[in-house]
Amino acid sequence: MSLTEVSTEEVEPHVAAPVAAPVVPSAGGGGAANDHKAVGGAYLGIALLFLVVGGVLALIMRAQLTSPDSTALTDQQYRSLFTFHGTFSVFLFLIPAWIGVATMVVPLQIGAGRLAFPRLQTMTLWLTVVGAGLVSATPFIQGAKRITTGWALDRPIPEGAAFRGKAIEYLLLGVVVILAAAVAASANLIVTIVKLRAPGLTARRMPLFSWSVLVSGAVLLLALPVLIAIMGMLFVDHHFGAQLFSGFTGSRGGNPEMWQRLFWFGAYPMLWALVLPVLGLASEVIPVFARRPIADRAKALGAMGAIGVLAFFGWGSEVTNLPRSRLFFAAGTLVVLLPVASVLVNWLLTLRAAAKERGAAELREGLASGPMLYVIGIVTVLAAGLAASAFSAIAAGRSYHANYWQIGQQHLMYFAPATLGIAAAAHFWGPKIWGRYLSPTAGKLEALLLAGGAHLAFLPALVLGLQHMPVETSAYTAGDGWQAANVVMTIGTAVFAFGTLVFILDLFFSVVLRRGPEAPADPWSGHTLEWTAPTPLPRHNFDRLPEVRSATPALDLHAAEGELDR
Amino acid sequence: MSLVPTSGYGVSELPPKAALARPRPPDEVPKGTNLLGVLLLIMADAMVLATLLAAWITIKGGSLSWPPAKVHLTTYLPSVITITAAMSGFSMAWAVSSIRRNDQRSATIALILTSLFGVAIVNAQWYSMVRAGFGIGDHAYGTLYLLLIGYHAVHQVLAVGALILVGSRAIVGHFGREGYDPMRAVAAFWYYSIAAWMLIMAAIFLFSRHA
Repeated sequence: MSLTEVSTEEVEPHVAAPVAAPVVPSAGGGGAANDHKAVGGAYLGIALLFLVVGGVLALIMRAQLTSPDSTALTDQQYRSLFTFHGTFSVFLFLIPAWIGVATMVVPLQIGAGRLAFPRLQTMTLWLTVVGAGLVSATPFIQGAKRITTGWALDRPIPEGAAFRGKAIEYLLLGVVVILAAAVAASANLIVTIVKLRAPGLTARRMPLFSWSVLVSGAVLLLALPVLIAIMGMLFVDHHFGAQLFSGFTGSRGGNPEMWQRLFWFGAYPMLWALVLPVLGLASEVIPVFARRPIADRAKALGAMGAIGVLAFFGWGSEVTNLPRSRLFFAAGTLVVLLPVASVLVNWLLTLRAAAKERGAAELREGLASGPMLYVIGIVTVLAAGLAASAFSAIAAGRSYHANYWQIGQQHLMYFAPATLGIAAAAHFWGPKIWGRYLSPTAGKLEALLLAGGAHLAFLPALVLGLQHMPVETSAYTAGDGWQAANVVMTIGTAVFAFGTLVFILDLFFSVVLRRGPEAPADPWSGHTLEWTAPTPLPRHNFDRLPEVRSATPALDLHAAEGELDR
Repeated sequence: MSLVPTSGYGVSELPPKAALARPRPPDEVPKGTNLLGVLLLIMADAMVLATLLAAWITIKGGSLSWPPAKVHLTTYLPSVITITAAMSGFSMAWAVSSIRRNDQRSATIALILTSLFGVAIVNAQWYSMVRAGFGIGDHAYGTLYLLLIGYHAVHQVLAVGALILVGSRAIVGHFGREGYDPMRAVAAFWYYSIAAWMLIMAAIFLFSRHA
């Protein structure tokens, strides 16, 4: 395509120029239902539903643990809630949420009109719905009361006579369906990013969010099949009376140690893959509001790639019975933190450079806007999570395992940044994708509540970890001395839940009921291609694409328009 | 509204005339898209197989008699499957190269031959599962044996199905030198299926005490 031959008459500011679409778009031959914006939105809807469900379960558990000697829930009930809280939050909130955001944003960011396989993404959406149905049905199936083993299904492995009933089979089937859908959706996103990028959008110029999705998709593609396989094997054990994961009973039995090893071999990289898009998102938002490109682009790209690779070297730290390779995996969990820290430092350097260039006062103005406040929240939560992770990596296998330290660390590192990130993504890209701003005032409140709530809820968990409170504790006595931190944790959880509620209401009123103020095509003076598309977005996203000659094509386009005006 | 940052890139990099390009037509599929999609799914699939093999190796390593004393399997059927799989690989390669050369007649013969090989493999695998002499719940060996062979049989069925769908398009002349992306995708899956069988075969029969 010869790009420079376009005459100046054709160049108009993209906001004011509704040009006839060059082709009749059908986005892959499917109906309107295959539009990546709609499919991604539906994914996000499912995810938010299960964020609420998981959150309600968390609140019930917190109510139990707020005071000592609580008898509201039996031990079995508590552990059951604990298991479903984890299962819902990981498999039905975190995974669909990021697939949803990526499905909505990635084609726009790379200047494509669609995903590589639009119908495939719709299929994965419905598979996710089916899986969600199976998992949600589990609590009402016979034998559900005995599913008390945590979301890793390892305390103990649910098989054998003690776990009779079909409930566990529903759970396993549901999760396998969700994971299979996630694998196909990730593959779709990867192909889209590799094959459908706009001309000139080289790998080095790729938007950082799309890059993070590419890396995260590759990790999910390799990690999730391991979980699919072992859950399938556990299903066979349960359904056909096989014994792959139970006792060394001579010729009949399998190997119970295998479960944890294989599970965490898949689940540990998966958790990192769910952090990666948060890093990508923040690396997108910070430069826009700092009004300068990111400090070191090559380092940001490299660091995110490194996280994807190193994520596969720390799984052993989650395995309780792995004496020999302890040191190796401790090193693995530690080393992966370095690129994460590098990305964080990159953000801070970007802000410092912006302050130097334009003065702190002007920078502060940019930082006070909705999406940026979330990102500041993400930075603080991630920093705490990094510190907690480093500490537990160094002390791996000692006393910080299977106690509340683990809960605090995992929530600070994986859960809180992801939740803040999804809210940030809605505020940042919402005006583009849905054509409406989310409420800026509510946004500030949400950011404060979510970030503050996360710190209040999960830092005390670290304290409880130091006091050796076991993960599955369903009740404790006053003599344990755990009450103070538990009370703070409950308050934090409530604050976080309130923040989530405000966010969802905001989303509902501003976007679903369309009460939010209408947004222009480029509300934030964005850097990447999505901001050059018209708002409201046509089905095929772009009528025209600016020539991509740098990592910030939208800025280049504005600059050139400015030159033409003069 | 336009905002020119004060640093980050040089003026020389700015587009001289705000050149606007036409986006790729939404219906245009770049070359190799289907193939890449299938290759990625193969990668994911290979991780499932790797997990099953890891379980095989782990349990085998910890067990005193592997296979259990009552299991008597011969290498006859698996050898037949292996040879058939190898032949199907050659005939598939022949089919793809015929399509690339626009040689319709050879392509038709090769595609029919390949799908017959595929059906023969599924058939032999079916027998090696039902005539194994043990059930899926009898012992860990039996569970993994049936899971591994079953894993491959499912892939072979899918591969034959895809071959019939895409191959019939090839036979009526939908593909040619200019475009045969779907055919390459099916061929990639077929080759993977053969490679997977070789691994399964090696794990079950080569490194054990079968006659």
